[in-house]
Amino acid sequence: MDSTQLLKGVLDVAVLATLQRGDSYGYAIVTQLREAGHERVGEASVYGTLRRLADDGAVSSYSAPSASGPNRKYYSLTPHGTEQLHDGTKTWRHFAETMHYLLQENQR
Amino acid sequence: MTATRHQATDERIDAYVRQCEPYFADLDEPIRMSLASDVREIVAEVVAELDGDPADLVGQPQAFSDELRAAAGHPPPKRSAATATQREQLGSLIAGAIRRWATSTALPWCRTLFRELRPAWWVARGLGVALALDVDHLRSGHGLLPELFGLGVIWLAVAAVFVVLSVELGRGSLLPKGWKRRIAIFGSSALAIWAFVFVATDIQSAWGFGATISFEGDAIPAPSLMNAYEFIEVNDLSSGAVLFSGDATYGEFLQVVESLRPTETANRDGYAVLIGLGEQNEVFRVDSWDAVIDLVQDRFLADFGPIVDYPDAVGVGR
Repeated sequence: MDSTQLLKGVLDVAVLATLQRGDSYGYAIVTQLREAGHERVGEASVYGTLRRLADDGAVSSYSAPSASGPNRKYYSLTPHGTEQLHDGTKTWRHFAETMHYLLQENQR
Repeated sequence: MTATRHQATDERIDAYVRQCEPYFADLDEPIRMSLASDVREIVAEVVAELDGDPADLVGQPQAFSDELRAAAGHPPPKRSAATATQREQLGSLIAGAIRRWATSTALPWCRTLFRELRPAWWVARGLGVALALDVDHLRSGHGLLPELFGLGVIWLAVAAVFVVLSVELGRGSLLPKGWKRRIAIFGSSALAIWAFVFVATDIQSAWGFGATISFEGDAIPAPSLMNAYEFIEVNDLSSGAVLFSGDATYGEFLQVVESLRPTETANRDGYAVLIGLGEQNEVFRVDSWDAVIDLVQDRFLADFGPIVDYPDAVGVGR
């Protein structure tokens, strides 16, 4: 099973979860997701997700200077984003528990 | 240096954005602009973090664009739009490969080569300056003092001095950095190059490279002066020679050379073409082969001895 396809469905939640730890910028979020185990997540996917979350009002952005180049665009979670993360977390847990149950049942 | 690097980075990012734009062509303009802006932002941020070619860092433009537009919630590109960009994609791949090869292999190789060749150039520049001071002497090989390899001893000594000066100038120990050193380098280099060009032109003329002889009427191959050289050497006519060349059956033309250096060639309406001889430097028209023989005998052979009947050559003995 291609985990990339699975991740696509929950990338919003993953990005929001990353931002819950603190404001961050695109490349740092990509790095955190890869370090967490999603090695194959693409920059375009994460930035595209950030763009969509910003359009939805789930995250807000601001610029801050960077030592390594041009200003970075930092993203922070909005109250709406926090709500979306909460809902997403519940949905994921329910989904994961269901899958866990099904797989355990098959093994018996 | 830093500004140049930033400019090069910006150009790479611009190029990458341009390669992505066709993959958004089917979307509405505001979305297209927004996605292109995103591409620029993403690539700039990643390049700032990792430094490298955008395609190496974030993937090929088509895959990256497709991923970005999907993540942003837009439908995948229509097939026609993608097809239309395949040629551009291939072009960008080739251009990228060439650029990477040039920057990672060719340029460093050239830099190393130039650095290693610099001492050789310094020596050549010293010789060139010495040549420039006495080109005529070098060319003639005649001097009051003894000669070595056809070169005057004094000239060799002067050349050695100039070589040493040129090397020291190149190493930076002759003059401190500044306008005096720059003028010395530029002036000596220009002088040396001029001398080399002069000598090369002279040699070219001496060996007849580029000399053309053509005939009206039946085509006859032009004689090779390299062959003339062999011919003269074999027959030990070092001070000058009459050379009959061309097709042995027809014997249509005649060359006269002196010290392997024809001074002029010409083609006229007459039956044969005669090359000027040494300082006499005359060009004659002749109407018949006998006239050629007479002319050569009257005008030149008194100085150079009798014509030898060369069995492999053409003319005199025909």
